[in-house]
Amino acid sequence: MHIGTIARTGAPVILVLVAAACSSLQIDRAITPSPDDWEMLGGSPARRNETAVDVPIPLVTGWIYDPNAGVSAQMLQRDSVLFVATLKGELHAVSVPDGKKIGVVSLGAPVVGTPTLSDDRIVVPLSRETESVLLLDLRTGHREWSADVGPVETAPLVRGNRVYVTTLLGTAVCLDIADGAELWKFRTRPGKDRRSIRSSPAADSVRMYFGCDDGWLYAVDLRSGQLAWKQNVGSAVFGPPLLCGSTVVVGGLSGTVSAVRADSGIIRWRMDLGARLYNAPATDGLRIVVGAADGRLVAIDPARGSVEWTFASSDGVSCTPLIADSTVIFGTLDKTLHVLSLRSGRELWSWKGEGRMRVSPLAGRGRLYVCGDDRTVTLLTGSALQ
Amino acid sequence: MAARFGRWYGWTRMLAVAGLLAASAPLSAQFYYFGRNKVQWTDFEWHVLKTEHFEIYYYPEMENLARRGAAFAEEAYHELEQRFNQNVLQPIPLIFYSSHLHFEQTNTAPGFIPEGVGGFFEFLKGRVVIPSDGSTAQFRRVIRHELVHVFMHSKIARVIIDHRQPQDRTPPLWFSEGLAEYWSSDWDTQAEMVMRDAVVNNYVVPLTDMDRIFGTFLMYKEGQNICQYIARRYGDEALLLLMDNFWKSGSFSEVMHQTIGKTYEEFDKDWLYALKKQYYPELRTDDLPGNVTENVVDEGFNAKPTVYAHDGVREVLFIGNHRGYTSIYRANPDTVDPESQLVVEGEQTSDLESFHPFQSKIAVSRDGILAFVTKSDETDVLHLFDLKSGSMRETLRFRNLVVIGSPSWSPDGRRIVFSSIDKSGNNDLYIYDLGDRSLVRVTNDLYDDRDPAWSPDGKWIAFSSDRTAWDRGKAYNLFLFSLDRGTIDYLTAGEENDLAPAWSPDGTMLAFTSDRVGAQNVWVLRMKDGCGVGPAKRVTNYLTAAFDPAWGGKDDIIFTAFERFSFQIKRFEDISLRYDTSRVTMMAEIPRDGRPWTVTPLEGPQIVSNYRYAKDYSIDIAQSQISTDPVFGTTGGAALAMSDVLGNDQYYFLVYNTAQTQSEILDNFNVAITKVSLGSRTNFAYGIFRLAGERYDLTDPDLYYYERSFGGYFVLSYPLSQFKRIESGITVSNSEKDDFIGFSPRRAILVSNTLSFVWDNSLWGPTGPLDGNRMKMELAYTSDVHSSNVSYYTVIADYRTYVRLANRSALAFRSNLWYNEGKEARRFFMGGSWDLRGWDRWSIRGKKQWITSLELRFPLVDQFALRFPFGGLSLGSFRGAVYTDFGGSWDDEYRDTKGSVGLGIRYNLFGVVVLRYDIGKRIEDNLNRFQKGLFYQFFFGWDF
Repeated sequence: MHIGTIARTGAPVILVLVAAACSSLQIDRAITPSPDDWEMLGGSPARRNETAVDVPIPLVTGWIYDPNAGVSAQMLQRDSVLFVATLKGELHAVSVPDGKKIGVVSLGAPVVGTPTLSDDRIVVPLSRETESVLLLDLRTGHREWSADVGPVETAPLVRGNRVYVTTLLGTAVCLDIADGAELWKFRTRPGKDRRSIRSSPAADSVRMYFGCDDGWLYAVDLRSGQLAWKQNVGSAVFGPPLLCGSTVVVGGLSGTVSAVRADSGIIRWRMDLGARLYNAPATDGLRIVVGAADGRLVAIDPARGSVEWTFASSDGVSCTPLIADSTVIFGTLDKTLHVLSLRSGRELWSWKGEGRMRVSPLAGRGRLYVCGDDRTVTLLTGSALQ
Repeated sequence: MAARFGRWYGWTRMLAVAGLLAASAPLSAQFYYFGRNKVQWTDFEWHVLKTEHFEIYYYPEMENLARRGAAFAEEAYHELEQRFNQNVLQPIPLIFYSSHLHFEQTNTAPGFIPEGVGGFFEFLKGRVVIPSDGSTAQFRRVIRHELVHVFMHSKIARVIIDHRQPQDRTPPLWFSEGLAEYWSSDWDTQAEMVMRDAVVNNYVVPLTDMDRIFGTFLMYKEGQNICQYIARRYGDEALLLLMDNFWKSGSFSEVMHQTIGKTYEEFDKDWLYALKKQYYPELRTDDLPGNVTENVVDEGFNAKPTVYAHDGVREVLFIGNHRGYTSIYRANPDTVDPESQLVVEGEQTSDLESFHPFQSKIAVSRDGILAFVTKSDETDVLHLFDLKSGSMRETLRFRNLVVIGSPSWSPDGRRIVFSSIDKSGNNDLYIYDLGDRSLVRVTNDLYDDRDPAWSPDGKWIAFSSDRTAWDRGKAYNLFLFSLDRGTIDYLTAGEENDLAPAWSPDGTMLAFTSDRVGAQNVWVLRMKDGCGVGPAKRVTNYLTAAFDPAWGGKDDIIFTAFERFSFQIKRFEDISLRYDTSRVTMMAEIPRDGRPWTVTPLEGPQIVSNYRYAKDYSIDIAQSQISTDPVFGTTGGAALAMSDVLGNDQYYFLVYNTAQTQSEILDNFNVAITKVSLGSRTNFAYGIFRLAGERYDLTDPDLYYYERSFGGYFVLSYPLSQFKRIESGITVSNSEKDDFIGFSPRRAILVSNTLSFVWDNSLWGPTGPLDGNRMKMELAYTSDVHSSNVSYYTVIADYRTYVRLANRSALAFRSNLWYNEGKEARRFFMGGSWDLRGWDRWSIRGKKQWITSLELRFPLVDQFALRFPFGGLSLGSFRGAVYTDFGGSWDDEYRDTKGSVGLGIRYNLFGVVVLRYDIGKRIEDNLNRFQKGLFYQFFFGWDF
């Protein structure tokens, strides 16, 4: 086991993670953080699912990694280490150059929501009643604290020295990152009428925004935990909202995309796509891209709420689309990965995997990582990079 | 070779092991001792239609129906894919049949398929098997229902695999079926009828107790209602989340708690309360049939009444099931507490194999000829029964007509109109002329035409059909066929189900049932010259449902009422008064564009390929096992079973080894390979085997030896009907028995031939047969063609009869003879709970044996419940028996007769095994004395 020093400004960091149980991993290399890293769901607190990384199609298969269980959390990347959290309750660290397992940590419960990397720590949500949020220190490998907030199946948000989570108990909780102490708790409703929250929170500098099974979009003040506003979006919300400028955009399960003002919750526009929306939208600021269960990928003008283009894919869209520079990448239930032009919606390339892609692909440094429900993580790379 | 006990396996028993593998799969009775026969009457020429997501198996006569079904399937697939957020990656096998009678022949599932089964999804190969019943809407609905199962199965499997959990868990049946019902159809009249009845009559079964109604129609409807309630209260996504969260607990109650925040107990409280709030207020305006009508019949279940008036007396004839066999009964509605009398007893012979009590009406002509339909061998037949003489006058079978329904006489008694499904799957109207024996097809299209009723003046035939322009095949309206003009016109029209038209004796009124304003009730329409006069009016207001009205006379109607989850025959009067005072009316809303709907079958590029079916095999079971025992040693082996997608051809592979040392391994390999063929009327099986190991021969005491044998066999079963069959078989094996103490070494090439006749029309209760008969006669001859070491013949005669004393009580009698004579004739054995009770199990041995038993079977305790502070235990019904057995066993000289008398208790454990406890006295010393004290025997096994 190697223990190194923390580097916060780009100097090499050597990461060590020691398992709470029998497994462990040891990363024996220098890690250089970069702006291309993907450290949380959607790539940022705004959950835009956007990266400036260019993915050079056509791509060829590099390596394939077996995480030994299903995956519903988005993958994370920091430099040459890929993190995969599984439904068996394991966190895998995978070496990017060769796809080999660096190590695995057993966490004791399924990881449904995407963990969040924050400096030298990782915040992991777990789907269980107790110890449902863990903070692991990447320097020492120790579990620094755990919090009992109820089952969490969404991605934590880290802002400054605070961790924000939404829970299946219908609450949003703010924790002190130092010790996991609860700073405030917001309840969507009193008593037994509360419905679960399966929508990961998005945030700007002032508020956090999340949808709920009760069909409402909530905005809660980050500091105080007080309700800023709430807006009825018509149906349960499973995916996280995103922030596009000063607009919060969210897709409801019934097929309605709602855009509301972030400061007041007033509806800017609504669009009924006529098909279920199980995943979140993505945006590059100029357009909102939404995938529907009937196979359509729709690009919407965020200002006017009008359709720019529609792409009819071969089967239901099965994950949140990823905007990678000038392309949009998404998977469908028939195990196909599609790469479209973000501007026109024209298909540029497609690839047939071995499993359905339920998790948004990850792009980093010219590579694309695709997770299939056949328990594979596949690296696709431009042939020039091979 | 070490002298030790080995397992007892005669070489014939080893074949039974291989045969048991065959028997454990879909063989029904063909290779069992008794049992009825699933007869392959029809030679289907299977084809495959491959679409984007399906492989559809059909036969050419029904190709258009198959293509329509393909269109429905693809449509359902796209919708369900979105609902489940899941797709099915492999092509789904869909096996279509154009009628239920064809469907009952399928080998994709073992055993018999009851009339009430509308289709199924089979997990092993992921097959969906669906019959058509002539109704397009129903066909589409069943396809969708079964596809919900397919998607659920795929979804749950994915969830379990992703979480690395054992894959042997499935959701509770109420949820599987409830969701399939909820996501395949609207909440309809039938569902409403069941729930209203259950709530108002206080027999709704809560979730906590749902096992009590496992697999019943009530469970289906309650499950559907529960899913609907969950969707309305918690959002449609809650149903999806119940599957997504399936991994969270082994208890579905806990899964529910984690999804909607309610355990079963908490949910029951809310749901049951909501049901009461919904249905109790309806009693303000509607009645329960039993409270406002007169009883005609009130036992068992009864349906499809018709009235025969003669010599100043009225009789109601109807289809009923009072004692387990569906039959035709009569009752006089004008007596107090009318009693039912049996007219024609069904389901015991092949000519009256089964009725269709919920599908087909019966009709009596003016001169007393009862027309009714039963299944008889391959198709339905129309029987004409003379009520005056009590004899069957004629039975009519029509070539190419598979299912027949609802005959109706012309007023002059010379013609009969009926509906029929032909091999294409279309249900149309036909008229048969008894005079010139001609059959005329009245309608010929894809619309479902039912319940024809000939008008008293002979000019019109009223019938129910989905050819209405309303609701695309889901609605049924009444139509009138003019025999003069040959035209069909609307009689009623609207988005409802108008069924079972019945003319009043003078032809001025037409009664029918409709769910136009909610529950299915009786309506009346005044008629003149083939037209409705004024609106139709509702003349009953029952909360549950009324079916099949039949005019008792001028002003009363006999009908079937649904109440307390049973169907009974009732009567009400004052039709004219009810009509005049009714405020619930219905005018025919004949659409401007009266063109009926059509269905576009799947064609062109939507069809990937279309080809003749060639056997497509896949593995059904692959299993290995190792066992060790301090006495019998260690055995390891594997078994593999595979079959084709239609279940017609099956292969079984069995290999195991009983070696106890390394040197014995090669010599102790046991292999058996069997092929079973069920695809044609003659079922056959053949195979080869190689068996070796230590044997303990139960037919002789203290004899064990080592035997090596290899050979082959062929058996066939030819069903004469559902109840009778002939079986035959030949086995050739080379057998070598090694030198053991007490046994001379022997080598033989054994040839064994058997021929038997089996007859079984028994009706079963919870622990054994209660009615009917069973019989087996077998002749066999076994010889050693190599060394003449073995040469014996066998005669087996086994007769059992069951005389019903009451609904659940019977007197059972059996008489068996087993007779082996010749060189090395094997011994039979008896003793124990299965035959000569009171005597030690298998302690009585002889080359000849006989046994006779008489047993009174009766219900003892219907429910037994224990309550503890921490919970409770409920046991179902216990049955009792009082019996006497007599038997004898000898080799060459008859020894003595043994007997026993006693009492017994039987308990059916989960429908899988019957536990038996007997006490009594042996009759010993050639029946000269009773034993001292009592014997006590506990064992398992069905009653004889």
